[in-house]
Amino acid sequence: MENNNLVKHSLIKKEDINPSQFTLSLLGEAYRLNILSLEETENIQMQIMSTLSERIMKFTRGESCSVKTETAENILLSIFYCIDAYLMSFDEADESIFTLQTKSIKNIYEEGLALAKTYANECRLLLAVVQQSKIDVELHAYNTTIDEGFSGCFDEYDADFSAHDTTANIDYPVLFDDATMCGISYVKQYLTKLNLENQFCGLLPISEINSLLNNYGSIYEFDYRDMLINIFQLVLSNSIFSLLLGNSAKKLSITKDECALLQDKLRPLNENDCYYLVEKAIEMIISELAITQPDLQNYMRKFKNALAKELMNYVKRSNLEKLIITTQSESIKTINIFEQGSKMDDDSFKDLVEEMLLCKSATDKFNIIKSDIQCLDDFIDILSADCIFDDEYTEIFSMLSDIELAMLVIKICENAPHIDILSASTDNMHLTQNEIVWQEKCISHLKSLSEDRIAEITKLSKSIQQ
Amino acid sequence: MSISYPDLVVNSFLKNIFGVKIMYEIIKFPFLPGANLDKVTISEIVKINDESQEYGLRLSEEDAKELIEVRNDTLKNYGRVEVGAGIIAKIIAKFCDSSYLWQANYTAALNELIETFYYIKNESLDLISDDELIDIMKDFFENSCRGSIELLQGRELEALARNLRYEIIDYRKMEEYSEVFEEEEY
Repeated sequence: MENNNLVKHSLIKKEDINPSQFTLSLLGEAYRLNILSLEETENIQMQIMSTLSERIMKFTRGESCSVKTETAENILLSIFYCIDAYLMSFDEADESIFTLQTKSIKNIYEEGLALAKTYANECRLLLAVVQQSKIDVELHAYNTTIDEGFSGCFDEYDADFSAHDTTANIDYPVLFDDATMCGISYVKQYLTKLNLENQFCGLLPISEINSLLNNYGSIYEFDYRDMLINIFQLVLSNSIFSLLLGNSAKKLSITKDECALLQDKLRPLNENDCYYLVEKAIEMIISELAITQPDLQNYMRKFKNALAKELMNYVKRSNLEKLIITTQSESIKTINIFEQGSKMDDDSFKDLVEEMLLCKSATDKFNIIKSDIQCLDDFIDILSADCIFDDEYTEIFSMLSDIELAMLVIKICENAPHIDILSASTDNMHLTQNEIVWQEKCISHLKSLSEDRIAEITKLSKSIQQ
Repeated sequence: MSISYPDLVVNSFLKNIFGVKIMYEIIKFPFLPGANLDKVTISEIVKINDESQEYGLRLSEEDAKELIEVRNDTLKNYGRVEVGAGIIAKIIAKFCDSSYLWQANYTAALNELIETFYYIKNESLDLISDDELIDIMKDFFENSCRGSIELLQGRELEALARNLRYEIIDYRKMEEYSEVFEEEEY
């Protein structure tokens, strides 16, 4: 007998169905594709109305035949929510349609109602687990969501007449949140994911997590405690990078030098290599942390696509330090060349000015500055010493690094620290004519830079001021 | 169980309930065929003639249709949805033995009583059952109001609704609380 390999094709694709109006959208699509006849759709609608009628009588305990329109609408939404919950529990849309054709709406509603009640019970248990596995961080959104976000949510939940209505107050974002879900099923997926994230973070030293969050706050110049960030994503990313550097998965601190090293290491790789590296790193973390729970393993593996793609993009643009959370305090100190040395004595400074006056080009003057000047004050004095002229300023400023320019910004804005680069001015009666000249040249140079670079310099100047 | 939605209430559903309007437009068929339900209601109403004839009262099919229209308009105006079609029949059955109703004012009085019924359901925040409200209406109509629907709605039932809203246990007693409320409202 011939063996025919039949591939089953779904008539309706689940992605064509609007998940927030599942049943109605499914009926519309099934009717459009002639899977359901006019009579069948009409019959289904009549059954929904009949179910509404029964629920209204149950709501009034048979004592009243009429209710306010808003009450009826609320009950109808509740019915649709339960019907949706049951029909969405099938893998294929065709199965949902088959169920609509073979089961009564009343039965489907009752199955969905039972599901909603089960979800509520599962959520109650999940919340207790999440509260137990909560990690000790000061992230406000994380703490308030877990401690207070669900208070009364399950006790007040009324699956019978308001199944669609949940009162959870969720601020903290989980990594793979499913925003297409709503009501109690949304809360269930949220708590399930939060529990997995907590379990993972609980396997790492809390001091490492807290310093990682602190570093993250420093990078973005915000108090991390007030930020809406996902801890799991930050922790897992740095854990992966740590492994790629040959360190332990539990070591989350990465220096700027290590970041540069990783940049060099990854530069020759293509997208597939990058994907493979991230995949391998995740498997190594699973092994090192002895993670045996399949759900958590899969949740972690789900991150590889997003991270590998992002990693590749940052490596290509040679700015991996924007993706990796590096230890901040060390990095700023190592860059700040002007803080390394001491101030010159007056004679040495006079000699330096004379030497600069003899130079024929701005590059020569810059080389003298780089080799002889050891602190910021001397550099500022040189800028005002009448030994640099006209376009030489612009040339010298263009040879400075971001951190050096950031320090000049601090000097220019020292009387108005809240002013940003673009609105900085030399309108200050205490400035000498020479100071006004170099500051105006500097502001003009800064304004000619790209938006990204201005943002970076602004960020650095604020970091240094703190 | 059947369900009756005045057209405009259905329209409000179509506007408010997600997707129904879209589906309605796609499928293009009446969302709820109200005609059959109205036929049931008409026959229910006319059937009460067997009982009311004893008191010299009778409703024609036209009268029954008018009562249904008034009911539908009232539900729409007061923002209510009704399940089943029993309220009109219940009100007729209760009031048909009234000494203040005769054939000439029968249909008009029933129209006003139906409107009053839904008005008080809203005003009392649905804190009273249908049967009890109809009982109380009949009691006041026959006794303290002596057949005046104006007094029934404007004085007695307004006070009843207020007592219910204030969660007064003995809400049927009007005199004791009316002065207190008048002072408060003044």
